[in-house]
Amino acid sequence: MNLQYIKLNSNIYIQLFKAKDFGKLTKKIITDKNGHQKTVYVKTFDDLFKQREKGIKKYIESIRNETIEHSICLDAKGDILVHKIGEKNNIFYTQRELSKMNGAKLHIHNHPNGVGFSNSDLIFATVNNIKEIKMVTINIFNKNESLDYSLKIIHNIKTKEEIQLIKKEYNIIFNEMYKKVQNKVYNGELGQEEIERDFFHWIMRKFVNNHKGWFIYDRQIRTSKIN
Amino acid sequence: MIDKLEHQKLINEFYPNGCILDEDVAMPKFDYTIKKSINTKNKFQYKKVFNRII
Repeated sequence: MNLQYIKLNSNIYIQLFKAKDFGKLTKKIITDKNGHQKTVYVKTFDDLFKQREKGIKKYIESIRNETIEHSICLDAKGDILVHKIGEKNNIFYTQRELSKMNGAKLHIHNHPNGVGFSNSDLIFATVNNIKEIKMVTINIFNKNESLDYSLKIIHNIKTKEEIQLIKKEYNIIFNEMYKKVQNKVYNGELGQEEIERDFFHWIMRKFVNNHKGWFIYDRQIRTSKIN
Repeated sequence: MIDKLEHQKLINEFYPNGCILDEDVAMPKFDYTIKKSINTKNKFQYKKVFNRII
């Protein structure tokens, strides 16, 4: 059995998987090009992925407070396609690494500066057709607050025109939101803490709302008890 | 998953020199120093109370 380990900064190794490759056969009825219905058995790896969720959660918690960016990209079985450690506020992927991520099930990374998904995250997920991109961070003003962001792509985005349109529309919303927020700062309705935590969240929420049926966006906030 | 060739075309289009994820993740700068000094309504109420005390 092929066990996979991830080395963290501080010489800590995390054993990510301990599962056997038991792909499950699922019965499906499909219609072929002649209109005939056929029963086929499709191999799914949902159970296998679930077995690995514990390891994935452990990885998520290990990168949440890191001061540089970390990432992994997993396929449907939960196998690691790409594991990369970046810098303070970015991660560099080569073209070869990007081609490995085509159609990946899950991409996980952290934002050390505590902000939400940016346009770069959105375009990265759409170009590589990643089913779900997760990002974890903490509130830099209140370190007991953990934030988990998730963006699922449910529409099959294939063409460069579609992706360029997404990029353009995000930028329009970004500029509108910037003006709106600056106005609220002027009126004393918003403070720096709230803005730093929520600015990118407001943009993504509005963007996804304008593209219902294309994306599913979610943010979870958890507050741990102060000792 | 999209076709390998199609994917490669998209990579060449959007990331010809590789991809820098989160290159735009820095917070835009807001000017927190410009604020309305006092709400005009509150200013009026404050004046009223002050006059009554005197």
